[in-house]
Amino acid sequence: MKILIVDDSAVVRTVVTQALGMAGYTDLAEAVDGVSALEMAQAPGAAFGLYILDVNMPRMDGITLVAELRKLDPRSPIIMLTTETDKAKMTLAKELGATGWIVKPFDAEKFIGVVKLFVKKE
Amino acid sequence: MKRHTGGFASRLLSLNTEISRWQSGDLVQLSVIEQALAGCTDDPGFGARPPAEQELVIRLKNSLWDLLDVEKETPWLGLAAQLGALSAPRLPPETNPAPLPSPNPPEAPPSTDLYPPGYFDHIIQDPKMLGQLCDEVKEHMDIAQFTLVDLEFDSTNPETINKIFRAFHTIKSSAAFLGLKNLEEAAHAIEDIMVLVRDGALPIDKDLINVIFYGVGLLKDLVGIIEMSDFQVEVMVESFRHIDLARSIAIFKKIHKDHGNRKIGQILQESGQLDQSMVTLILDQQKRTNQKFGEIAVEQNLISEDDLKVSLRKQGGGTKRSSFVKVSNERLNSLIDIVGELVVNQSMLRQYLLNPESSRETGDRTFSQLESITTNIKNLVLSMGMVPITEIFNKLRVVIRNTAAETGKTISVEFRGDDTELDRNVIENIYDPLVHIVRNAVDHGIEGPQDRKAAGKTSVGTIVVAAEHKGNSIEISVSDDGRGIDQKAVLAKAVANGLVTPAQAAAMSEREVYALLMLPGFSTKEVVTEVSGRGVGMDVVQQNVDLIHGKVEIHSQPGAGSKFVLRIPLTLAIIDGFVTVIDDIKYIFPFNLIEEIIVPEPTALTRLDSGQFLLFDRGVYTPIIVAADLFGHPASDQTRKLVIVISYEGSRYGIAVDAILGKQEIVIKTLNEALESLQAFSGGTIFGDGSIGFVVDIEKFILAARGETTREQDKGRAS
Repeated sequence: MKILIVDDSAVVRTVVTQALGMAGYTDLAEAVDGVSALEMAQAPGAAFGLYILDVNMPRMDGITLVAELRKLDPRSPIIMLTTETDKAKMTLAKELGATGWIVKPFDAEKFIGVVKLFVKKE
Repeated sequence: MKRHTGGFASRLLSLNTEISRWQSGDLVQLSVIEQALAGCTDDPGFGARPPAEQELVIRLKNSLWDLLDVEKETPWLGLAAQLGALSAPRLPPETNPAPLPSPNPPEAPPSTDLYPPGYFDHIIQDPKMLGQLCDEVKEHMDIAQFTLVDLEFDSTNPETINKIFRAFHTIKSSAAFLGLKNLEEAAHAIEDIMVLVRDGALPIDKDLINVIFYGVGLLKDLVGIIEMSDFQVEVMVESFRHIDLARSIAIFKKIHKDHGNRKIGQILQESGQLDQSMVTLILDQQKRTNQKFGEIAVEQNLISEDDLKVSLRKQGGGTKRSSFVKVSNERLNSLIDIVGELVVNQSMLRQYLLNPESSRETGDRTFSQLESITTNIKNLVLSMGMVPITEIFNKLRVVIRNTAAETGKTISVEFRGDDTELDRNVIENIYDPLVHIVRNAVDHGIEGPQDRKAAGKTSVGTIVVAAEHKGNSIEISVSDDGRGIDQKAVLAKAVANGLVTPAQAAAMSEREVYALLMLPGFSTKEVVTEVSGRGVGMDVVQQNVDLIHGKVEIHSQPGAGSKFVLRIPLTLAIIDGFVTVIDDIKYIFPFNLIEEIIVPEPTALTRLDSGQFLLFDRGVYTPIIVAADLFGHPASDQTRKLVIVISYEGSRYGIAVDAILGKQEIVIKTLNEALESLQAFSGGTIFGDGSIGFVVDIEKFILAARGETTREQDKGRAS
């Protein structure tokens, strides 16, 4: 399963990549903002099984990205990475099609637990 | 209290709790709920559960993903709510004569029986283990009895109190294992009382000791019944039923309730370990299960067992910390000893004075004894206001760890002398400077891992924070093995910022260069990093340390590291003063600020048009503050015989005085309201000969002097 990680913070991308790597997921793609993420998702042959999105990003924020992604891919789960202060936006994100959220900072174990849950569901 | 329904009930309970913590879309919680559900279905006891319960758990498990569906979420939670009813305790509510705070009192039918049905159903029929328990209880109760007698004589010994506590505690848990709920409850109730005693919330008196003696007897009686029954459960239960345990326990619980009123949840919430929602949740669960608040919180991993212990200790008392000072037994005993010596000394002095034939030698000896007694009392009393620096060190550890994480550095920290004690007022003032210094050390001092390798160092940086007694002061140092301070960079920055001229810069000594770091607004790092903040330099450190009459020293070796040393007086109430005289009145300046004393040649003094005097000495001009003017002495000969030079905020000031009486320990007394308007003083003091002196507050003094100077300059320009 291919996973797309979208976050403008290199640290967050590294943490997510490492956590996924530890759990055995290595087929990963990274984007630094909503626009480049959308371009990657629109590219021919792109088939992501899971999206992990930051909320606050330059060029296109995570909430807008959810709406755009759902036009392309109605099925794959979209996990939002939020901070406590972003939590208010989560209702909107859910209405637009986000699957759920994880509050940053999170520990790797819990994060992997969530990803595994989705893989198990598939 | 131990649960008797076994492991499965607790699984249902935690499942229930996790579900109640659900927030729409919270994926981590989703996986936690999933694990809790799997925990139930995977439990070996699952097959033995009532079919309705099994079916419900499986349905919830299979439809877990409904939780993420806006429309199906609520129905799923409704289904889960049925689980709450199922996981309610199977045991009847505890015999608890005290009214429960619950709005729904247990709906047990009124019974003439002393014990609820099923109360004795869980006793383990194992004669060997029951026999062991009886031996254990008898042994512990013997110990408790002996110790209680000791307690009557010495009610403060913590070890004695602990022994009794442990006796009941051990019995409580052993009894619980064997299902002897009556024994367990009785032991538990007395244990609770002992917790209050141990934590100082409940004073020991004759009545309390009698109550505990009664408890010992009660447990012994119960054990006697077990032994008499020949360990036959039916036989012992028959006898148990005739003992009105509830009444006895009600007595214990009343004592406990009267003294332990604060709720544990409140304490945990105050200390920030639980938030309101968690507290509400636990209280909910508590209503259903009769478990202890703390037990639920620990079980649900909301708090650690250690946190609980700390809070339980707080529950016992000790909340009035601000108005009381803890004094160790040892120190109190020393004080009592010394006061004893003082009484002896007093009668010796009286003898000496009454006896006309007393020799001068006897008088001297008696008096020097008195001196040594006074010194001891002074030191002891001061030490009672002292607190160990450990608390600050623990906070610094966190600061260093966080700063290191923010800056991507690996740092090993060492703390030395954490038992060093400081005046509590001093402690308040050194925390901020120390935080600033350690942050600087992590951020600017220690290099990044790459730079360290390039410099031939290990990739892990080292910071040593040490506290040490040095005579009448405490020395706290922060050393790092980082890049050291680049003197050239400091000078370049100082010149660029207009703090010094290039010529001045070229002539500066190493110490003077480091002193530049403490000037307001100075920051050596070109790029302002997030950690050290903007525009806040070492001047903050200097200011805070000045407040408590301390000194900051900087040592550094390029490439090898830096060391910041704070030299702090042991206490604020007694200072090393430098006693001076102006027009026969004594003024005391803080000794640590004195740089030198100059006897000026008349030609060395220059009077500017503004009226300001300058002292020219060894190539340096130092402004002179005519203290007599500031202190309101009538104008007289303004060139005094002596100039003391003090160093304050990196500048030198000369203060003209008539005479110097030297360094002396000064006990600062607060001035009364009438004198408080004298802005330049921090207090007064009384000397041995009964004369008084004024202790100069150097910060206010300099400010007043500067104000004076500018006004005079203005006058000068106008004329």
